[in-house]
Amino acid sequence: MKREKVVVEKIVETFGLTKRYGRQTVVDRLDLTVSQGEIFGFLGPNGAGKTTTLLMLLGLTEPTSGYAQVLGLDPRRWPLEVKSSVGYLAENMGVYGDLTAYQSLAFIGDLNHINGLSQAIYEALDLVGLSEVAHKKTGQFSRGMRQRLGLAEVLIKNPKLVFLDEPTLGLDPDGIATMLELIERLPAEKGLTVVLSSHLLHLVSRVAHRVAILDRGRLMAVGPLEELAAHAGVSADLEQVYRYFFKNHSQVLSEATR
Amino acid sequence: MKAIIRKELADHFGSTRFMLLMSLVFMISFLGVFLAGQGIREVLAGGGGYLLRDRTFLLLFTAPGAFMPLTAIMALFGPLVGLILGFDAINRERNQGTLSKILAQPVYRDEVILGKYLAGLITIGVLLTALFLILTGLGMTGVGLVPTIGELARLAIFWLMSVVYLGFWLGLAILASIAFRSVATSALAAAVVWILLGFFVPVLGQTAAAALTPLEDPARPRAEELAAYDHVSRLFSLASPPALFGEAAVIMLDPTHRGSEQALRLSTMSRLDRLLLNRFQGVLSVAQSLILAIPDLLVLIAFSLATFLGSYLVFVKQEVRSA
Ligand SMILES: Nc1ncnc2c1ncn2[C@@H]1O[C@H](COP(=O)(O)OP(=O)(O)OP(=O)(O)O)[C@@H](O)[C@H]1O
Ligand SMILES: [Mg+2]
Repeated sequence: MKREKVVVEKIVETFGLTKRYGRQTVVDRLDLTVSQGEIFGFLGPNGAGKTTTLLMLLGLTEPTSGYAQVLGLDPRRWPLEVKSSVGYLAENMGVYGDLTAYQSLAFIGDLNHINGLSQAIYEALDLVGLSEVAHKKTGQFSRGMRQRLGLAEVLIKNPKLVFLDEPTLGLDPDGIATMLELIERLPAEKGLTVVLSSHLLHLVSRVAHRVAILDRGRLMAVGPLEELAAHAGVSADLEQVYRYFFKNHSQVLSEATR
Repeated sequence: MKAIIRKELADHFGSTRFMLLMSLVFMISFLGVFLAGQGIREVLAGGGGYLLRDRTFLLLFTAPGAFMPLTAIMALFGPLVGLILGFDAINRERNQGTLSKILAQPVYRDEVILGKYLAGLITIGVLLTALFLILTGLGMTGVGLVPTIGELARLAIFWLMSVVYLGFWLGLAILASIAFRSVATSALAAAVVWILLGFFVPVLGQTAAAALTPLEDPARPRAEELAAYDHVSRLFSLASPPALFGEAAVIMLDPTHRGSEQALRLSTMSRLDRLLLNRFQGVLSVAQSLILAIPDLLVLIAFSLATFLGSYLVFVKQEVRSA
């Protein structure tokens, strides 16, 4: 299921990336790299700072210190360039209930100056399995349909990199399976790099090539799941790896020290 | 930004809110013009020969009638149009979770505000065009008044002024929608500013002027005293877009109006008498009226720019997520 990826290029790189809200440090000196074509699992409990990190990578919130490079660019200096090549499926993503699925995609496509929009829309709808409801108002969509539409809105941009923040939130088991299958196909079919943020370990472990574990803003571990498991001396089960790195807060493992 | 404008326009014109707004505006304006028209018709029927037919058309918009002249209606109730079109512009997106979606696309934050602002302004323009055409038609068929070219030019300038003026309120409402997370709070805040600027400040100005410049002999006020009074109340009206707009509108629509100073000198007469008496004095050309109105208009435009700047400054610093 998982393919080993050759490191071609660093798509995301952060250097001491830090975010404080008031006195609370939400992301603490984060050093991360995400490579071309991989599915990168971004794990951590609620409030660990996953969403905040993604927002900083998109230039949607300012880092307090440190900086990031996304596709080789600093999102603070090149916000439009970064945002036109990065797709972002936000957690708790909303829809314009008055628009149909087609119109929603047309709006996003318009904002991204996509050529041949109509065809691109039907392709995207087809990919996420929403072709039949293309002209239904999204206000009448179920949770899962909205989530799929969100993915279509991400893909219609033809991004090089996508950030999916809790993409399986609120989906039924079938929906989760479909979503994961979709995500898994993206690197091969679209040449995409995927950063998948979640606290649902078993899901991430099914598709991610590498994972990072974040806790209270600190990076606890990063690497292929098997390596982390070997280090922890547990079986290659993400749940156990995860537990290990939370019980042993001193056992901070990073790619640098490995 | 075109994409944002397109979407917002579709939203506005397809909304129930717009239809309700439209009927509200039409009802109130129709009432104003109808009553003014009735008054004019009575004067005409009563042999008001000095009311030359080719100069009376604009009276439809400035004569007080039994309700209010249209200029005053526009000054006081027009703001509602701008407020209703803008009070939930940003916070609704934030609350429904679409704000981070838009901002994750390659657009600057100010483009989002500007796009919404321009779409609202276009909507206002369309609404006022329809309104003015209907009122003009009404005046022509109902009262039998035919506008001259000059009157049409004045009306066109008044239209533009009204768009700018309602645009100020739209900008203010958008600012409220950025500053307040709750849609209800921003609507309320916008309404508070409306009451404050539209009703409170002008009354405050008059009260202050009366207190600061007492008259020696109230029965026969001297010209300097009136000028001083006018000066103080004008200072206050500078802070009140409705007062500014109201004055500029009267200057523009009434060729005999030469600004508040002269109007004040006639303040002892009844309003319609004053208006009719004015007809005997010199009539200003369109350009002359425009020059008189321009200072007020510039302050209005400055107000609009301030709301936009305020929106921008608040918005860029804000977190995308609701806090
Ligand atoms: N606008 C804000 N102001 C202050 N604190 C904030 C703000 N946004 C987030 N936080 C705090 O930042 C911390 C990290 O939040 P973040 O949303 O990044 O976590 P997360 O890992 O995405 O969690 P979850 O799994 O629940 O989505 C939390 O403690 C949260 O309270
Ligand atoms: Mg989150």
